[in-house]
Amino acid sequence: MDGREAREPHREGGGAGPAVGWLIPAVVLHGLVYFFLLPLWMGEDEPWHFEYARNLALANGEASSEPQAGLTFSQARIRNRTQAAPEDVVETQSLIVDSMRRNQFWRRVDFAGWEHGGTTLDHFVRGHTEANQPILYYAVCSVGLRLFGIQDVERQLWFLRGLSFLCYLAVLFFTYALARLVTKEGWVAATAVLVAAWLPMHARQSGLVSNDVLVKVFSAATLWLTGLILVGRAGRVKIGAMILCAGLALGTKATAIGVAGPLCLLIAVHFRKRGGSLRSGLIAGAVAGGLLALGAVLYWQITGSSVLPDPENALRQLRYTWKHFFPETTRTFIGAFNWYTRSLPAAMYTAVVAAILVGLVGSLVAATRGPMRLHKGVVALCWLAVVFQLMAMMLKAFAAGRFLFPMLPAIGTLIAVGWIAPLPASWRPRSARILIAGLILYDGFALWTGLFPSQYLEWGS
Amino acid sequence: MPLGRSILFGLAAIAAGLLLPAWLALGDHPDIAIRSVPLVTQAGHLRSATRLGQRFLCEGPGLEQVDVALALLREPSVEIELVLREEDSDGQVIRRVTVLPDPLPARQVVPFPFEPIHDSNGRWFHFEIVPAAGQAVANHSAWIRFHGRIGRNEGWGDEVIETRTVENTFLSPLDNLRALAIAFESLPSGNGEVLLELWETEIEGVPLRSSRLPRPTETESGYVFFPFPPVSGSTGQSYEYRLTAPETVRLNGRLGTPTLKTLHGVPGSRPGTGGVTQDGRHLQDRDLVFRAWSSYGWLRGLKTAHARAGWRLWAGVLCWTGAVLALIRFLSSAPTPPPGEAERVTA
Repeated sequence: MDGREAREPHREGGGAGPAVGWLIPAVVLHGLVYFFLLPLWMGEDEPWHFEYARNLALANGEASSEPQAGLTFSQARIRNRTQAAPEDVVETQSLIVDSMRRNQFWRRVDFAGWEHGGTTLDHFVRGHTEANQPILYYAVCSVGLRLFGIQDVERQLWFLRGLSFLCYLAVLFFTYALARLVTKEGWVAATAVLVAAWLPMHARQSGLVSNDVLVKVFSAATLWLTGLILVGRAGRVKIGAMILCAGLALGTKATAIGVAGPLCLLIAVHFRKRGGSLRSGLIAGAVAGGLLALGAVLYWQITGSSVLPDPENALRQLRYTWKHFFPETTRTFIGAFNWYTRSLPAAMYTAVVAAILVGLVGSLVAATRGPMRLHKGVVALCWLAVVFQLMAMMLKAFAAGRFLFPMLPAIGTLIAVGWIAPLPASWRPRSARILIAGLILYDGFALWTGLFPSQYLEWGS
Repeated sequence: MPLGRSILFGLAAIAAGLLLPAWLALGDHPDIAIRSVPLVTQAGHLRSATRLGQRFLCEGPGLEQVDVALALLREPSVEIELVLREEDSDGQVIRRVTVLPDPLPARQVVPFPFEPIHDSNGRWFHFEIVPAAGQAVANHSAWIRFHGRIGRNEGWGDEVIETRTVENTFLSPLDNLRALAIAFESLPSGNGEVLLELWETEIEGVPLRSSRLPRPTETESGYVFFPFPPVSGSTGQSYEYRLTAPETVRLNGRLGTPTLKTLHGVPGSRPGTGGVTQDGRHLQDRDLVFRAWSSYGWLRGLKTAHARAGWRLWAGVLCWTGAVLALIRFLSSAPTPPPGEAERVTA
C-alpha cells in the first residue's frame, strides 16, 4: 500500500450512500426481539455461567476453610474458584434448578431428561462447570450484581442479559467502524453491520448470559484498533488500547485466540515500515505471535482453564475435525436452537453457506482486481483474523458456531465487501439491497420457524 | 413520502410484523411429543401377544397421525400395525393403520397417518403397535422413556450371559436412584417371579430396596426396568444388586457383567401422557417415544403461544415489526449514486 492510500479515506460514490441513521433503530429493535423471545436459561451453558457470576457476587473475598463435604463435583469446583460459602453454592444451584423447572426448561431441551427429583445442576449435565473459565467476565457481572443489590435469581439473570444486549450493540459499532476502514462506500459498512446484527445466532446472544458476549466485544475492539493502526490513524494511545483490548479478550475466554493473528500482522507491517525486509517482518510477527500464544496458554493453564488440545489426541482431533467440525460449526453458526437440539431445514443451511461463500470469494476478487478502492491491509486483517480463529477452533475441536463470533466484525466486513465491492458502482446498491433482503428473509425464517416454535410451541411432554 | 409509497410501506409493515411470523410460526406442530435424546432404552421385539401401547390426551381437533420411534433390530423390515382406541387399552377400536417402515435408518420415527378424528379435542386415546398380518413377532422394537434421568449408561454389549442369578456392583453417579434397566437377550414370561434386590456396599441382611416382576413380560433383545422407591443421597455411592430368575435367562453384557443403566429422580408427571400399557398392565412410570398430530390451526397456535410466551410474544412481535420497518425505510430512502461517478478503478 502507498502512503496516500494509508492516510486517505477511501471515498466512493461521490459521497452518496444509504441513510445509515435508520440502522440504529433497526439493530436496537432487532436485538430486543431476541432479548425478549429467548426464554430464561435457554442460552447454552447459561445456568453455569450465571452460577459462577452469582457465587462471585456472594463471596466476601475471604478464603473459607469450611469443609466441602456434601458438595457435588461441580459445586466443589465453583466453590474453590469463587470462595463463596458452601451453603451459598448449594443454594444457588437449587434456586437455579427451581427457576429452570418453573420456566419449563425440561420441556424445551430434548436431552435434559427427567426434572423431578433433581436439586443440583448435575442432575441435568453431570460434572459440568464453568469454573475453569477465566474470571474476568464473571467479575464484571458480580460487580454489577453487587452494585444494584439484586437478590432474586431471575431478576439477576435479566440484569446480566441486559449487559449482553449492550455487548451486542458494541460489536455492531465496531463492525461498522472496521468496515469504514476498508472503504468509505456507505453500503459496505451498513451491510457489514446488518450481516452481524441479522445473523440469528448472534442476535440471540443479546439475550443470554455467557462469557461469549464479552470476549467478542474485546476482540471486535482489537480488530478495529488494529485496522486503525494499519491505515495510519492511530497514535501511541490507540496502540496501547489495542494491546490492552487484546489482553482483555484473551483474559476473558480462550476463544479470543483469533486476535493473535492481527497482532502478528501488525508487528510484521511495523517492521516493514521501519525499513526491515519482508522476511524479517514476518519472522518478527511469527515470534511475537508465538510469544503471545505462549503467554495466553500459560495464563489459561495457571488459572485452570482447560483449553489446550492434548497433544496425544491431536491426530484423533484432526480426524474428528474433518468429519464433524465443519458440519457442526456451520449448523450452529447459521441456526440451531434449544441448546442446539433443534435445527433448521437443510435447504436453509445450503442457501446461507452459498451466500457466505459468495461474499468470501467476492472479497478476494474485490481486493485483487475489483473496481472499488479498498484498503487491502484491512481486508487482509479480516481474512487473517477469520483463518486464525478457524484454525484455533479446529485444533481444539471447538465445533460451535458461536466461537467464531469474536471475529464477527471481520466476517461481516468480508461478506459485505464480497457482495458489493467487485461490482460496478451502479450495481452496488442493488446488490446490497438483495443481500439485505435475503438477511431479512433468513432471519425471519430462523426466528419464526426455528427459535420461536422450538421455544414456545413444540414442547416435549 | 407520497401517498402510494406510504400505503405500500404500511402493507409491508403489516406483512412483516404480523402475517409473516404468524404464517411461519403457527403452522403444524405436534399435539404431544415424548422426546428422548439420545434414545437409550428400547422394549425389545414387538410381539402380538404382549401388545405394547401408550395412552395420551389429544388437545386439538382432527387427530390424524401418530409417529412412533422404532428401532430395526434385525432385517428384514416387516409391516407394523397401529391400533387406535378410544380412552384406554380396552376401548373401542376407531382406527387401524399398517405401515412398512424403511429399513434405513435403523432408528427412525415412523409415521402412522389415518383418517382425521374431528372431535378429538380434549379426549384420551390409546394406541398399540403390533406386528401386522397375524405375525407373532416383528423385527422392530419401540423406544421407551422411563421417568428418570439416565445416570450410568452402558451400551449394548457383545456377550450373552446365561444364568438364573447374577450379582454385581455399580456406582450411582446421581441422587435419587429409582430404577435399574437391565439388558435381556431373552426373558421368558409367566414362569415365576423375577426379583432384583439392592444393597449398600455388600450383599448382606435385608436389602435396601427390592423390585419384583411377578409375571414378567416376554422380552427379546430389550431392556427390562426394575423400579423401586428413590434412594435419597445416592450420589457417588456404591451398590450391590442381585437378580434372581425362576429359570435360566439370557442377559446381554460385556466381560461377564450384565449391561446396566441407572435411572434417577422422583415420580412425577408431565401433562398429556398416560403411560405405557403392556401385557394388560398400565405402567405409569414410562412412556413410548412418540408424537401425535392434530389440526393445530392458527387460532390454537396463537393461544398456545400467548399462554406460554405472554407479554414477551407481543414485545417480540412489536420489536420485529419495528426493526423490519426501519430496515425497509433504510432501503427505500437510500439514494443511489449516479452511474459513472464511482467507476474509478483503483490504480
